[in-house]
Amino acid sequence: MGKAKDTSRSTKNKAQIIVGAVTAMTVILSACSSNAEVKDGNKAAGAEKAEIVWVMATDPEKKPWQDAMVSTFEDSHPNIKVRLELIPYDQFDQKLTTMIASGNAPDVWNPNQADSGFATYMKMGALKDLTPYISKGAPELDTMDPNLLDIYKIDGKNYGVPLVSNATYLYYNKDLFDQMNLPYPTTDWDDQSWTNEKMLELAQKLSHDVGNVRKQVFGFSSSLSPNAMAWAFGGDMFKPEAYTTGTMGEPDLLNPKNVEALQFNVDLINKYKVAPNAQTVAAAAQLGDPFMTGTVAMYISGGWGLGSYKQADFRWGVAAVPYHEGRKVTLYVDPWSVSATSKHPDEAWEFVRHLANPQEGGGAYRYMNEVGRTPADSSLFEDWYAKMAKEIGMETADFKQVHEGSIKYGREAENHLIVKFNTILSTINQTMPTVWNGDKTVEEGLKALNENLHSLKLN
Amino acid sequence: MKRKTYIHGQLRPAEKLLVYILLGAGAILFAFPLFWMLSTSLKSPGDIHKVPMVWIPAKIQWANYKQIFIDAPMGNYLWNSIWYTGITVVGTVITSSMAAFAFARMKARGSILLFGLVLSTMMIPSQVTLIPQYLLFNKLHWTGTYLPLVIPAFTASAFTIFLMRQFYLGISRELDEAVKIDGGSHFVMYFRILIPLSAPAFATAAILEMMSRWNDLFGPLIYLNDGAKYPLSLGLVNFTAAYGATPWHLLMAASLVAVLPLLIIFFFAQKYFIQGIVISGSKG
Amino acid sequence: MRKLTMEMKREERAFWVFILPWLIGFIVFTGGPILVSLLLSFTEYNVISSPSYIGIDNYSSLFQDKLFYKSLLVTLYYSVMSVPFTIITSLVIAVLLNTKIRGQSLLRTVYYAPSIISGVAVSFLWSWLLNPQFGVVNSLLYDWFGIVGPGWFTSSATVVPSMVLMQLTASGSTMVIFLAALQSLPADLYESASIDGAGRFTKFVKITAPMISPVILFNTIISMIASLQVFTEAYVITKGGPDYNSYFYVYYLFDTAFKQFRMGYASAQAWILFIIIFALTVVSLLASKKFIHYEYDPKK
Repeated sequence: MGKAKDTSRSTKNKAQIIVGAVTAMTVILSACSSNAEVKDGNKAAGAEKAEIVWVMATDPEKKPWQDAMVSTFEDSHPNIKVRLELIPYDQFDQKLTTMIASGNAPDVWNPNQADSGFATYMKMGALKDLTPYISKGAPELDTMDPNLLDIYKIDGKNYGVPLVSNATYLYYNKDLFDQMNLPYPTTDWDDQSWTNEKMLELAQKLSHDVGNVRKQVFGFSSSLSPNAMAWAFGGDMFKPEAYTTGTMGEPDLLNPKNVEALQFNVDLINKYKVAPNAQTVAAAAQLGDPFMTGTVAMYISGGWGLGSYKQADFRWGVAAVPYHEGRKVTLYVDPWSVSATSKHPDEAWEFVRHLANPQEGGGAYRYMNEVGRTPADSSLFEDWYAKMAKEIGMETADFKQVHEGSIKYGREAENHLIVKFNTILSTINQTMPTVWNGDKTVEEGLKALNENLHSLKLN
Repeated sequence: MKRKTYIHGQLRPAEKLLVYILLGAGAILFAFPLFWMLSTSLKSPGDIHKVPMVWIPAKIQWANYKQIFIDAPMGNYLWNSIWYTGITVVGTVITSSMAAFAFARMKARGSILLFGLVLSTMMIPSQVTLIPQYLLFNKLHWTGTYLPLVIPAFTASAFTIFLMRQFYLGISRELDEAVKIDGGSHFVMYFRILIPLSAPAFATAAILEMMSRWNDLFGPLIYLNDGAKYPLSLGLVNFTAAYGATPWHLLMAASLVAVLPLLIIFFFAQKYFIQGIVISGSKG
Repeated sequence: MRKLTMEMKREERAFWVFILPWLIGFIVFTGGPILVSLLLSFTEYNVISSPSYIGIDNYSSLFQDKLFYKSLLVTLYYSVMSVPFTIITSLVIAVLLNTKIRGQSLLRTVYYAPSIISGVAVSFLWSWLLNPQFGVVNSLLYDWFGIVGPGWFTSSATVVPSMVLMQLTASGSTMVIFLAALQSLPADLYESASIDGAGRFTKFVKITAPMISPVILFNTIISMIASLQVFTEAYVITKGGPDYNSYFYVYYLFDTAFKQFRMGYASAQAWILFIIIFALTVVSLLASKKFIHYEYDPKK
């Protein structure tokens, strides 16, 4: 650069460089903008062709299904183009917020994929009321359990069409059970002898070498949130109204059943030493989850495990969550929604119907078959039971019993129902570690949590 | 005027040994993430979650590297990264060095205030300017294209201006005077003295800018929406998933493929800016 | 006198030409959004309905917000430790990497690598080193000294120091800038110092440090600005915990903006932070005046 020898030539050089720079800028500008024009030109050419945007979180496992959905829909609807946009989970909230703020909200998406969840977006006014479309007739929804459809019905209006309904199970590692010659836990949710105490006994027999990183095996762990732990013991951190109005209101933390539930889980870690402590769980969670390490014998978690544990190199099964009076477990029902600001709501609705179609070749049918997630549509259950049972290596009837029990004792996840629940959850997660590691008693922890929840401003 | 640069003199053998021990020990720590990526990229899905970690997988899965090219248009991403990084680095470094030169070596009313403005733009958390900025580019109909990423690169960056200004302040003023006496303008000064003298500064600024552009996930994520236009940084997210379902073996294979060009460039470039033509003008 | 004014005018004109690209960018792309965020800080804005003006309410509730103070305190604590740590470690590494040794290029690449490769790999490194139960550091502490190591990222007292420690492998660009600065040092100064019988340490203090002081100042200010906006470590590793002890200021701001959709409040948070960073930068620039050696003094 600038190696000119002669001063008198330098002005000329200078001019040349400036001209050069300006030309380069112009070329780049025009190259970039001509790209943009080409794109606009395409749009203009197919003026009657509506483009709808479909947003999902990235997941390589779902990619072939997503591509198939776009192409089959475009084949049957030649006037509609679907643009699939995939957003990594960690950046989902930020990208979605900019899209909403600029009036470019995606046409079709699942509001539970963002951390904030359905209730938050519904209250914000980001979602379209789908009732008029549903009442006009949608044969795709005929076989859907009305209870599931009602989860996303607020004040008589439907804001979402269920796609999956993940349940909660107790996963167990068959290899670890076999090593100890122990019988597998029951698949019958109504077996009242399968209590938490029984589970603890079993966990004590399964645990060994805790503290020795190379050999340790934990009898039990779970991915349950503190509130879900309370539910499993018949407790609840919030009042029933919270789930129907969407507003947290006055929490109900010191309910004796909550205390019992949390105390039991603290004791599993610190007193009986059958469960890994928070640090060990966090370390394992960086790569996947503790169950995948093969060193946890029983693990309570959501239905997505049926898919992700396929990679495990040990044998595993699913069973009932231990019985307790008033026990409830979490259901995670995810819906398809249409944005309130969608420029092509009719086309978007057509696409939702395609995604929800349980007939062979339809979205819900192929999602169950190709991605393997729990369908929401009742007509798909039998096929799914057979398919999952075969993959896991269980009897179809046993698997069906586990799943139906979970549905029977299930209730919808709180983050789908309470507005800004993720702020509430992160407040809970800030406060609880001091309880898990024994710095605070359960009561002290809940009192501190109560104070922190009160200082939240959620409106 | 050409001088050899100072490389901390000759070391006594004992000192040299100490330096080797210190650097060697540190290198093990610093190389760990690379080893881990390499090891993970050659594992089967079942091996990834083993505790304690398996360093050398029982069965080395070279096929993972083939798989990433089947699963995603890696070549396409690579090309996008190359041209995008190339253009933006050239744009940023040139325009920043011009502004840096002005702030370092010219007197003008309000220059301190303006320099304060430059620094200020780094002090506002980007989280709150994200939405206004997106709305702006949306108004210009630039979203969905590379324009919001490329055009601002030609308007300098605060970090690079500040960096180069500090380097320019370190170059003796006597050379300026010489040019002035010869009747040369500031342009002569810039092109004939500053640019040749500040090769290490240019190389440093270019390297740092290149690394941050190549790795930038967020900018492309916000402004691009067509998978075919994605650069590598954003293409990698094809291999991520929520709820512990990320295929780490594929993600790490793809990440290594993405980072390798950078490491190679750095390996050769550091030689350049380290042995670069550094001329001291301190006393003629 | 007249000639001087002419020259000054010419210089001033040249100044504007040279900063023109930046100025255009500032006016068109940067300044506007910054101004908008200032205006938004006086509104309530949930990103979907239009902003509504609420005066200084955001600011007054900010000053009554317990988390505001907590997050500010945690961030300052982090900054006070991480800035000197980053500057000292990266300067030491740069000096060592600047010695004449075999494999220099490779070593430099290895030391720079962690700052450009996958964040997951780096955070995996540190959680592997600092895992309280089976991490390398705690194992060594126990085996060699019989000390039961701390909880690192998982304990309220050690979470921030652990994050500072993590900066060791993240300061590649600081190190590279130091390396480049060390390269610009003229050899003759050292040669004459050697003749005067100065030792290595004396030479570093008397020659190296003053000569690269503009770059030390640069790295200090940049890492101060960066440390006060620390976010990623908390987002990836601790989610702000335990018990809000790594709930950094910008992490809180992020939560407000993108999880709670309170863009107005988040903008007010941003502007308070701006004022703090700005003040600290001005103070460091003024305080450093005595110690910084410029070959070209802009004041003269």
